[in-house]
Amino acid sequence: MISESLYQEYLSFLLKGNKSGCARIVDGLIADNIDLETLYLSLFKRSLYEIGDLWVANKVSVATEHLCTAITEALMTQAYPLIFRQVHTGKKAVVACVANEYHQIGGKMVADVLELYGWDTYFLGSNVPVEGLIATIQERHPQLLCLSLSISSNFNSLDKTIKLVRIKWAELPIFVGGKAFEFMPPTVLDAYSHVKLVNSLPDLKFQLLTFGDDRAR
Amino acid sequence: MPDNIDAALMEYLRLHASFLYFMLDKDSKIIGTNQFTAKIIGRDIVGVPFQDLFVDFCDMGGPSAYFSEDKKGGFFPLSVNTSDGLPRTFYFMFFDLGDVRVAFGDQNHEEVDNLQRQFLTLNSELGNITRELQKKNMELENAIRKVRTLEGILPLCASCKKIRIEGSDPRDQKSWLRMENYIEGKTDAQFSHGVCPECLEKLYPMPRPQH
Repeated sequence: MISESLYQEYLSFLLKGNKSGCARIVDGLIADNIDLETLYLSLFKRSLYEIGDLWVANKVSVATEHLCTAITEALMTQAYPLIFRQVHTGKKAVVACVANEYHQIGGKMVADVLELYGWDTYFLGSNVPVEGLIATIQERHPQLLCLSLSISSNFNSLDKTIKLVRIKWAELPIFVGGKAFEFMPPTVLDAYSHVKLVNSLPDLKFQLLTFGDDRAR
Repeated sequence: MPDNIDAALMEYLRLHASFLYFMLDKDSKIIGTNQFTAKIIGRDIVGVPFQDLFVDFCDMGGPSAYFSEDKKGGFFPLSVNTSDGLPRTFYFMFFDLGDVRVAFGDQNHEEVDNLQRQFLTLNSELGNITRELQKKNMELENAIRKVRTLEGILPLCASCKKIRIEGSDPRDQKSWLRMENYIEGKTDAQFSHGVCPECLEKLYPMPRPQH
């Protein structure tokens, strides 16, 4: 649990670009045995969404937003010792942002949570060309593909990616998620088979149960 | 244009604009600046020769060269010594107004935007590489935990091939373990039993059908 005052202190450090102040708070939370999902949801995601809202309201610049994103991404590395000590279950997932999508933190959080549940993840990062994605699926034989979409105008890239993946892997389960879907009707993915909208990290846990993943329970 | 536009521009220039502004006398000594310049340079510079502010100015022909007709309307990248000790490059344009000279210095916004984009991309890539490294490190640590090895000199009975436990009394028979017990105790290896052909011949010296 993160107190409101600690969150506000973190947000204030983040907006000022004070990485060491943020890192001190994250270190303290990890030392207090915070669980990964709380850290990601209640600190990283909440602050980034709030900064995004401040940008939309013209209260912070795009440069500040980018700086906050960069700091958050650097802070996520502090949590890796929590994530990668899990015993692997043998299940594999490929996680990527579609072509032209440069917001990768959400996808990385999904990959990290999957690792936490013992999945072996291949996180390909932002702006992944569909050819590269297909080559990775061919090489790794994952049981799950996760695609992240933050900007709704990149939906065409997602559409193209799913269609090209489906040519070779007709039934590979695909989870899609990201901020873009907040602005789209829930039926937007109905046309695709074996594609599920995963709205949040708790939703991801729920969906993983369909893979018999008891650790997500 | 309204009559008071000059006053508004001057107020903006002196107090709010985020570019460098210098007013110089005919000898190129500074006689006025704006707030942004004072913040960047970080010291009182009125009366200071203009070229003293720059890292590389003197190598470029001195300030007067920039006020010549052939330089009119051009931008010149010059690096200023700043208050934080790090030089910063501004693109300068010079105007000779007769009694006074004026210089404006602005950042190259395209360059700054490009740097920002590159920085963000590199930061993301670095984060991804760190993630992979951390993952590989953990896999290696797990592998090392699984692999248990034997090393050093093992005291072996020359006759029965039992191995003596390290540091134990060689005269005590309990100090000596059968080799398979010793190795199973020290490693993750396990033994199964069979008989080699030579021993089989010794143990069961009877004719056997040929296969």
